[in-house]
Amino acid sequence: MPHRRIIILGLALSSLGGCVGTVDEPPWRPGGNVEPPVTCEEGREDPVTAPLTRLSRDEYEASLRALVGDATVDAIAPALAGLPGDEPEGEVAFGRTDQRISPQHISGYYAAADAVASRVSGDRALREQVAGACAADAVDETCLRSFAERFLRLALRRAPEGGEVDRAVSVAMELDGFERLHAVLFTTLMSPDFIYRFENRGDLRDNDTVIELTPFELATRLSYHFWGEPPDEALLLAAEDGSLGSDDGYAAQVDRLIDDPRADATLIAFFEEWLHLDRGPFSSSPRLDVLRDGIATDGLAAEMREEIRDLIRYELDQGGSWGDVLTSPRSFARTDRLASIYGVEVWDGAGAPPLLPEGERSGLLTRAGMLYTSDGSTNPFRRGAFLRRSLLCDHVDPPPGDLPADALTPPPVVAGQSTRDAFAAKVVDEPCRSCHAQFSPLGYALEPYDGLGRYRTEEWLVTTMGEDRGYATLDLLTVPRVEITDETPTMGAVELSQRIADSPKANLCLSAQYFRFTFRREEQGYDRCVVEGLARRIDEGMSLRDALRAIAFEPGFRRRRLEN
Amino acid sequence: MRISKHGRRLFLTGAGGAVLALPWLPSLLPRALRTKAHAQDPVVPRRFIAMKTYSGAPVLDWYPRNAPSGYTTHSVDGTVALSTPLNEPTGRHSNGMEYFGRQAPLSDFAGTGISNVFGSGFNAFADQMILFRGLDFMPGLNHNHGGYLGNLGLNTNGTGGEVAGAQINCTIDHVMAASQSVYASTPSGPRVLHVGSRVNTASYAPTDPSNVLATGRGAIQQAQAFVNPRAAFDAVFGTAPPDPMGSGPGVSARLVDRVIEDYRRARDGSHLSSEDRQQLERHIAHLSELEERVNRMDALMCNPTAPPMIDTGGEFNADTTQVTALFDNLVDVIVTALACDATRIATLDITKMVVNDGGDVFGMGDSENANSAGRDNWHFQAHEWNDDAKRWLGLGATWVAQHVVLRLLEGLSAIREPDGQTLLHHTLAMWSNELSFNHLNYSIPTVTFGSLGGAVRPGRYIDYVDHDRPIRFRQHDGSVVEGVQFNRLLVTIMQGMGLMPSEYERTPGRGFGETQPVGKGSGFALDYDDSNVGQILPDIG
Repeated sequence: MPHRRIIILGLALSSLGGCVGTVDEPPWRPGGNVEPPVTCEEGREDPVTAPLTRLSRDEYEASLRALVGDATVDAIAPALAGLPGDEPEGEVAFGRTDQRISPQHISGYYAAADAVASRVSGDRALREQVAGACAADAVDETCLRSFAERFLRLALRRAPEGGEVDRAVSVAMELDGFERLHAVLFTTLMSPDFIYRFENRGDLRDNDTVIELTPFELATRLSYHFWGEPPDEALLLAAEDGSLGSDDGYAAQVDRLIDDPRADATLIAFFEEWLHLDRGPFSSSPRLDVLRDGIATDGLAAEMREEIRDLIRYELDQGGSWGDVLTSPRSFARTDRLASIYGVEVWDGAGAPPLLPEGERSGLLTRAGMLYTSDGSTNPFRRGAFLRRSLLCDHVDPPPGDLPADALTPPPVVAGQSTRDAFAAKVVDEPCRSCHAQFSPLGYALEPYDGLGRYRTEEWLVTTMGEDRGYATLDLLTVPRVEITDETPTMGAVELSQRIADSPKANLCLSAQYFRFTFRREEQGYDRCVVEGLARRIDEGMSLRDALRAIAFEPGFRRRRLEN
Repeated sequence: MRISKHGRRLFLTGAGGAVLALPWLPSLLPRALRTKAHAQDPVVPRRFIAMKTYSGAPVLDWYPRNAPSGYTTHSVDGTVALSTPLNEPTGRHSNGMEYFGRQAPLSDFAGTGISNVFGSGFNAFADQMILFRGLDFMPGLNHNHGGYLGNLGLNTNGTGGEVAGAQINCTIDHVMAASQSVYASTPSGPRVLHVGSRVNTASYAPTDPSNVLATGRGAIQQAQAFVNPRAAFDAVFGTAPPDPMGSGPGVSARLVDRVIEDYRRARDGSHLSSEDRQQLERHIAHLSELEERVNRMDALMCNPTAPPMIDTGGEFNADTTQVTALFDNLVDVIVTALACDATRIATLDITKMVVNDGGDVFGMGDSENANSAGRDNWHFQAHEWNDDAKRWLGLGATWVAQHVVLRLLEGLSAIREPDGQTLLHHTLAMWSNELSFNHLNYSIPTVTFGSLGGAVRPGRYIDYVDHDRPIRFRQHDGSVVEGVQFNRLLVTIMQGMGLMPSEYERTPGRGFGETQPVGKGSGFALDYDDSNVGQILPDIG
């Protein structure tokens, strides 16, 4: 009889809803926002519900590149620029979860398909490259059919089905000359099977409640998941010859995919988006002009972001865990100015990365790329809310809508008053006080770093107009409540990083975030079993890379539950 | 499905052959915008369209007043306050204090529509739009002959001729039309296509050459004004419209219905959830909208059909159906003329508008005669400024935006240039006003669409008003307070179109048009930074 466990993941993942209570009594309601308990049985296959999926903006472009080549896609970049980016409504959602379809999307798809079709059909060399030598000087039906069979297989990511090639050719043959080629290209690039991923062609099982992905659908899911691209020829062949359907064949393809550099790029993209690494450059402002104290900030933000990418790549390559990322004592600064901010030697990108000054920094949260702001100021509320929401996956209510006009304005800089004290004074009364107790202490713990990511033992106060207001003492003692009932204080960010790394929340949140990235939606119902299972493996010592690989071996990855 | 067996080579590809022969060399651009131009495709010409409305504007209807999350409002008028400073300062006041304009992404306001005038229909163009606040005419100009295009020294006859001591200019559309940077060779159509609902001098060139700005340039001939779309069409295309050679946009447009069939087939497939089917339904609905649009634009694309003769009658009491038809056809003539590259500069003088006041539909016309009482007298109602007048003027401006301007934008955005970008991308379409509030000219309500081929950076609400300065006084919902000189917008447009300062400056470094507050007393806001009046707008590119 299978072992049965009841887990209540809602408690761990979204327990901070509702801003009531006092600071002394944690303001959140343990158990609030909890979804109904889910029964997870070991060995049970819990197919993950995956609705029709629209290709993300990046996937769409990558798919075009795979079909018609980089030069053609580069040439139509202006047309492609009209396609909206993926911007989900939720603050912590991944861009690829944005499945909305708007008139701008349709116009963008149209412009891109039209531009590709016009360019390829109007250029002899491109016609030969894309459609074959037979299309160089004329396009007859034989040539067109041959092209359509090949092009549809690649564009639709499966073997063309009955009538699809015939329809494409018959429409095109109503036109003249190279317009025929234009027609096949345009209608294929506009087709639902190119713009969307359908997973509805497989066999039904479990009383028609579950559908097996076809080998082509599985190949497509794998390739977009690990590479952000359509399946390559090897994957398509594995789908066609059936080898992808065997456990060994499947594992071999997963290993091939994740060992490819393209998988690293996707994994880095996951972390970049999750951690909001793209925070823009430093901007010119009177405050930054003073605070930077001679440091040139042009391009500095990009160097900081690259250092975080290097940290993650390093731990992926070294078999490190998520906890290792959170507590790594090594610097990956490759430039003089970033290394000087850390007080270390420049890393050459090959040898052992130098160690960070002990006691000053440790792990991801203390990297300049996580700490800088465009004008050099610090905002402990934002820092804290980010950690609470994104890194710990706790829910934090947004500010109420009826606040006074200046409630969300940062406090003015006053001589002798630290940023922490100034911010804390703004929320000393209800209704602010109890909500802020959820996350502000996490932000206070990062105050040993200024808005350029420099370590400091006292705070230099500079106003928005660049006026020097002297120095203030830093108070590093906080009660971060990583676990909601934990009242143990920490002293500074190094301790906080270790506290977070030691918390089961860190791995559970990583698992949940990766689930959302993989399946493009919030987990619900049985999904939470997948998340919990992945987190458990990480808790047991699985490396970061293996953990991210493991999701492809969840039973639900290969199946889809049908709507009732 | 409609598929023509008569293959047409792409007009725009065909026209591109001619376009390729035209010089558009980034190295010839003024330094300020040269870097931007280098990043762009060098073969597509840039176009400029100017639209003007009249008699003071309902300024509160132009600007966002519903504050999205994270924004506050100005206590003085309830408009949304912006907090993000531009990356370049506007300048320094006489006390040495540097001041900055503010900006916000227009997409932030999409939830409720950008403003009363720019409702949700503009969300689709928000990324191509710049909504400007704080562009100020320097001299004490009243009703005028094209102040919005730089003739800042000449009031209309009804309000007294020249502004004493002010510089009189021809308008910048004429200056640009005379430039080799815009027309390296004589275009097939008018250098300036000047159309509208009244023969007017919104596009202006004085007949006396001694009055003309032009450095080393002779007199510039006043562009002919057309108030009948058929006459304008004939001026652009003559009696024998060009026979377009080519296929292209037309091929794709005629295949959209086949694509829709594919989506219907997919929607009806098995094992999809209701959510999946709804998604595909939405896709189909948007495709159908696209099909209608591209087919209309395909008909416009240098495959021109002569519009009807339309006469909208006198100044007031215009037949609203006729007014609507007039502007539909004038806009289509402009789009077609630009798409065919018969002309690159157009002005649209909007002296009539339609008001729909809860189902009561009537026309309003502008006139220099402010004394003819009636709801159809735009000018009179602008002076009345009671609740009815404010509502009607707001509704009229909304009609202009949502009927005239949107039609223009749909046309420009549906036409693709040889580089794959839209005609709108390569255009700057500006809508501005004769005056701001009442007879004053602070913060002239102005909006632009397109990016002049990448020379300007759209998608933003930019407020140049220095809200830290004291408001000298208020009238008709507007505040007299310093923003930035309107002259800098004119410089931005001309440099974006490729002109060198020497082509438009009387005095090196001084930009274009009257730059001094002549005719304004000490009670006005006067403290601008005169040292940079010849430069482009701050942080515009």
